[in-house]
Amino acid sequence: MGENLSRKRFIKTSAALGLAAVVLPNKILSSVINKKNTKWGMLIDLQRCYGCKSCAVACKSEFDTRLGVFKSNVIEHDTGKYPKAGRNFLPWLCNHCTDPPCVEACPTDPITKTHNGTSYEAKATYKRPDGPVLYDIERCIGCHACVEECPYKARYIDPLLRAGEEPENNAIGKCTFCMHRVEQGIEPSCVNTCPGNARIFGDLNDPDSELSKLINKNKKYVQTIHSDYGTSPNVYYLDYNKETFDKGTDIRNEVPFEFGQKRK
Amino acid sequence: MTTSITRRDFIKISALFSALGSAGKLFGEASSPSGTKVYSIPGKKRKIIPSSCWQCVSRDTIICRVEDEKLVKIEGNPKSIRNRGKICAKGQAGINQVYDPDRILYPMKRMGKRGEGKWKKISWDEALEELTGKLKKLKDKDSPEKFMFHYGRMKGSDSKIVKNFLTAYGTKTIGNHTSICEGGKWTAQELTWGKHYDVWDFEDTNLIVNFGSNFLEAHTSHIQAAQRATNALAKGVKMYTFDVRLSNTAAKATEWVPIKPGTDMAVMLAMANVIMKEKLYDKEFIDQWTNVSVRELKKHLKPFTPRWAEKVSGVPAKKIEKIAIEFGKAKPAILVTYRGAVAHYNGIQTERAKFMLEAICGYLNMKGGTNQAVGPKWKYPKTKGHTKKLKIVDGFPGTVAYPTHHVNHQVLKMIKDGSYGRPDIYMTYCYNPVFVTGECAENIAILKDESIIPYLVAVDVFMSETTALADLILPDVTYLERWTWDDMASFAMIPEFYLRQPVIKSLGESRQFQDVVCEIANRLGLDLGFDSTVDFIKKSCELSKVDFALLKKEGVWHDPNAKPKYHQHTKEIASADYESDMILFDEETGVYWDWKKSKAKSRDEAVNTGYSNMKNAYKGYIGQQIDGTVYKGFKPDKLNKSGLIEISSDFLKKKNFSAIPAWMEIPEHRNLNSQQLILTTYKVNVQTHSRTANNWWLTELYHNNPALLNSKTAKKFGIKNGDSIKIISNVGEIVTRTKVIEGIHPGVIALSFHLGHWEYGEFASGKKASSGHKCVTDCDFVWWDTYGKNPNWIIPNKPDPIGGQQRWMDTVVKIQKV
Repeated sequence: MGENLSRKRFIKTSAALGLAAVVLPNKILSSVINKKNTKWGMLIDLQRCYGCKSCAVACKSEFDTRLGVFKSNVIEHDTGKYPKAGRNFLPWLCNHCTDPPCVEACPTDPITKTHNGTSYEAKATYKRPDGPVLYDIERCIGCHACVEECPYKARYIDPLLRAGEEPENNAIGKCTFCMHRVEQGIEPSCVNTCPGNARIFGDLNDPDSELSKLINKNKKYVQTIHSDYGTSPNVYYLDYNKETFDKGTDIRNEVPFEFGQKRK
Repeated sequence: MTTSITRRDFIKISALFSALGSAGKLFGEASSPSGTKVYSIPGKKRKIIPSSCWQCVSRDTIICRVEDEKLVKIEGNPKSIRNRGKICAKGQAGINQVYDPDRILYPMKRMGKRGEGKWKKISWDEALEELTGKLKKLKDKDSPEKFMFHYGRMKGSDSKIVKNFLTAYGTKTIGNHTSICEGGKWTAQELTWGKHYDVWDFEDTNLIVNFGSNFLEAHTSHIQAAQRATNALAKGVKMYTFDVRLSNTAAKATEWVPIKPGTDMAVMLAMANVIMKEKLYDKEFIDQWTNVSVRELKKHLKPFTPRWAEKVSGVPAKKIEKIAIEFGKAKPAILVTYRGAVAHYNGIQTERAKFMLEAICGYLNMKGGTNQAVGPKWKYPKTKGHTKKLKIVDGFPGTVAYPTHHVNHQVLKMIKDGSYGRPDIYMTYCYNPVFVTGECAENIAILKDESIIPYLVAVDVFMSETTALADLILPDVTYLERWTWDDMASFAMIPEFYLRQPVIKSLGESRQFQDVVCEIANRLGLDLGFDSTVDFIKKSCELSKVDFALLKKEGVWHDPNAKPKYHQHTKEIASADYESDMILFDEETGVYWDWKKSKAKSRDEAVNTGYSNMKNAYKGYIGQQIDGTVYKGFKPDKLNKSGLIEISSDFLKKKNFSAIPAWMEIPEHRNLNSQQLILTTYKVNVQTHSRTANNWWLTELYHNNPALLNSKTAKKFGIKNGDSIKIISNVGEIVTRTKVIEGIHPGVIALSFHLGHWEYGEFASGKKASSGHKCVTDCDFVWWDTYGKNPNWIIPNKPDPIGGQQRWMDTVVKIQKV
């Protein structure tokens, strides 16, 4: 654990979280699906993450994602000098930004879609009214502008799948917040498997959701990755180490793998 | 495959994941386990089948999502009180085991020379005809012991069925693998508190002090332990991790305390010294439940001061003192150990020192402390028979005092030596001795030599380095196509009964080996008392009063009225249970015992020999008398110890070891010169032992294991990050690259154990299995070309002198820049 983190702060925040997060490991979200005005979000308690990468493999199997690309993984970052050496873990996935640069970058023409009665404009990659940044590979032209523009390197060029509108190009891929599960009342796969119960998924617009309560209770200690990017992420971190992950490095270099490249 | 995908296909695929606007229809099946929910992808029919994981020995419970007879997803079973719906990365990758492109799907007979990779696919009938022919010959010659069965992973009903068969056949030449795991830890526990396996009640403790256990990455109860420890840490419980390397468990600790390899015991002794000096001990517990007094302990521990321990271990005396005082005051605290502390020359006394420390603070068998394991007590059909054995599983005579878990890493050496008999048939079962014990080169030479091993049969799912040398391969099924009742310890302290059941039809002609032994028994005319694995499991359920249908539906069952079993030793034994002619009272130890369960031929023999010296007397142990009351006590196993915690051990005294744990220096570590380093091995969070390297989702995350060196050490040797180096020990040398880091003791070089396969399949070694390879989609997308290095090439096969534990962490090496 990084020496620069204040232990006292840790205990205070995590004790609060500990009470709420432990109780039900497999939460079934039946009560919240199809509710109006939902805004899906996630909180990741970094004290509870011990870097096991169960989330990364759960995600691979959920989507049968090809080798070479990930929708979710854990970044490891070593700190300090012997004997005060430490290691930080940062679970990483799409931030489902409120102002997603990827959507802005998508050059396709928008069409009108509706979700739960709310209509919205959707390009090939789009922000749905209930929060998730999704994509439609049938409408994708494979230009990869969205991959380029994501400041978190959370998108990839799929090594296998083809772009619907331009099948000679590879399609893009990314985390969908497991909307296919959530819409059927089941939490995302990474949340489901997380042995540390570090991930809390829920409705940010519902002040009574476990997620909202935890964020409100720990306001001082909750941050998003690179809040300075102006993207307003909807994935929050508790005890995020700004020194390590924001200031010390370019987050794009921390992602320990490359995307969309077949390297054999 | 990549480019030939049609637009039509692609639309189908894309529809699965992008047509998210419309919620899919549910196709739930009525039989889904409670607390789970089926979800579907439009147009696909899914169902949920509960089962249990077997990516490692933790054996957590799972639910499997199956779509059109194909396994598509594994999750934790939310009903389980052990793993509470959670599984690790390895468990998530279990699908890769089933659909492994290099899986052996048919019986294979060797055609070329041993290890040449030339195979002929044969029928099961042909395979079993050949094998049973040889087995029959041995049995007819009254030499059934010349059939050696050597297993790696065999637990629960899988183990009982096979052992029933071996008993019926007449061989007890059975090798296991515990000495290369943590056998020393178990022998130490049997010498000290009785039946082995310690469960740590993290969620109710106030402090965790960890010596050499990486339970946040790998452990025999990994998810159970990691989940509960994380909850403790989140509440603000402190954890100190003593380790030679910054494991993830050290990284998550309040403090990582680097320590010189093999000196954990010195710190424990000094902690005990401080606790006695500061009067933080629990006098009542010591007086009632141990076989030593406060006075004896004080006298024994006097020389082991923190200052002394600092000289031995490199851990500052002040730090030892501080942690000792915190430990003594925590009430309760947990002291964790595993292979980092135990896989040494002095590992048994180190483990005993752990128990001494916990016992003097009274932290054993209590809420928030270290507890004796609780697990389901299955009853099952037992086959009777007379057996014989070759004396090749307990190490060379005189080298190991109490090999209660055998000395498996000496088996091949003993076969080579030949003085103790050689098996005519050597069968491995889910076991890869070539790769997983030390001295790989010697292992290969022995197994390749037909004059030493005339007939080698491998029962395996994959082309392991050992299976590649076999004469006959019998293809087993993976754990996801298997029937087993299982019995892992429960960190909930309430026994959980659970089942492993096939979630898909077994692939190819693979067959569960337990069904195969039923057929072999049939062919040999042996009566096992059951005729298939399922029959055995149903009979076990009947005997154990567990509802088979319920287990099939839910995967797990526990008694809803059961309470966590703390304070097991304090249970009083009713007088009716020990006041009988059959029951003897042993004055010397205070033990009541049933002599008929021992090897005594008569009551007189039992009385005259006494409990301590009568063979197998521990099997008749009933209770321990303390001040006129008889308690369950700390029940012995494998050794005739009393029902007390034997901090002072007569067994050890008899063999000239210190009766109370005392410092034992590792002979090879005495007078190390400045050019020598100590090699340590470790495990990581996304691989299991040697068995997951062909799981592409895991190997993508971990496919290289450079030698870890501290930056100071690297500088001293003029080595830079990424340089090639040669690591040289007494038994060999390997060349590998380095990774220069801060998180490692400067006297240590570390290589993980998982990688460096030269068989096993395309993802593990870059080599397709010689028995056949059937590409999966991801074969086209492998992007790594490093397969790592197995440290075992240079680690000698050496047992510790008390229990026979393989001394994984003791090897002295030199390094050279290449």
